[in-house]
Amino acid sequence: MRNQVRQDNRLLVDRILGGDPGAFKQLVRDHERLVGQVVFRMIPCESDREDLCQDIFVKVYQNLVSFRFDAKLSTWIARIAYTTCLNYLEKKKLPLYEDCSPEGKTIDDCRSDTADPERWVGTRQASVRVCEEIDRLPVIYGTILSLFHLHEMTYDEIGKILRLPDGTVKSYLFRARKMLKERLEVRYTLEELCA
Amino acid sequence: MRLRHLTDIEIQALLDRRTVLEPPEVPGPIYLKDLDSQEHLDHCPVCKAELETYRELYAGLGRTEVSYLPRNFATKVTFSLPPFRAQRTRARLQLALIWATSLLVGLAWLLGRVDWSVLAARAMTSAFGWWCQTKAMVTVFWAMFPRPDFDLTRLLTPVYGLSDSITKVLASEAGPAHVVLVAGLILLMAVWLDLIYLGSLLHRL
Repeated sequence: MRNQVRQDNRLLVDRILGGDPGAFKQLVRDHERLVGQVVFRMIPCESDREDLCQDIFVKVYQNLVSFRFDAKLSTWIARIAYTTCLNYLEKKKLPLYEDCSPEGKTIDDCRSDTADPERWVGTRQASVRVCEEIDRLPVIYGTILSLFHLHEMTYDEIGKILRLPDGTVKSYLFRARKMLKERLEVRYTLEELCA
Repeated sequence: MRLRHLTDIEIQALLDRRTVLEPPEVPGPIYLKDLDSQEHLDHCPVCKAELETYRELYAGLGRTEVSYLPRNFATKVTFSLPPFRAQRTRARLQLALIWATSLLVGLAWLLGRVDWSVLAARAMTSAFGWWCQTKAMVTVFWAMFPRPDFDLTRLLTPVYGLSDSITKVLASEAGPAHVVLVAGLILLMAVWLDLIYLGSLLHRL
């Protein structure tokens, strides 16, 4: 299966380098979900996200000639997406490792924020709640969670994208999930979460 | 049976092995520590509840799509690109050209079938052209393999300076030694450009 995907990607890249615009469109369609996830998780400014996704694919196109299939195509594209987002965060002086929960508030303080029943209306789904909490985690944790749980990447693949050792990826992932679980427990009961 | 409760890390590792890294449909190895943990889980309601919470969390995490790109995004990106060209063919052709030039010059020098006086005269007149070609070649290479994190000017300054001096020397006096010098420099230039190319590849990977 993996070999088949690799073979298909090789043919796709050859077609793009041979000058087939349709093939590049196919590549964008195949990877826009992955790139979108990385960008939407890392970039807080909504208006910049789409432009950034576009920039990433332009970079992919410009550098495709140097891609030698030493890694998976998706890993290589995700790496470009991550680096582009990292540059954006550096330029805007935004944190990568800092907690994004409201400043100066502990987990216990957050409970009162969500106690407003109106805020709950229409968002009674676990995924929405989990999503909200991920946004409050450090950016790097949210990115790792997305890559692991949504794109089913291995520690090694995530490590290649983020340029981190496997052990660090694993440790961040465990820490992120623990943090997420604790925060969700503080905010909601299990029944509410599963509702 | 183990007596202490499972830690968060142990519960997560257990779920990772069972659900994410080795999905149930793929038969994976049976871990001894998993058996040990399972035995504890069968008898411990606290750990069972923790496992259940994590299981819910995993299910929630699998449904946290946040990307909402417009439907026509792929078309939009494709239109924003510079005109499509056969990039790989062009790159290979240019690399082959550089190597072929180096090889030919080297061979001509080795075989000694060169009329030195004619070559010396030509070298003098073409030195300026060579200098221009070098610049053009580097520019082409840079267009082919752009690296935003790389300072090209820093690399080119000594090369341009060197080519300027060579042109001056050749303009004042020409002889077989200068032809060899030019041939050697072209060879060096080719190797140097290939090293940049190789370096950029390694850097990207």
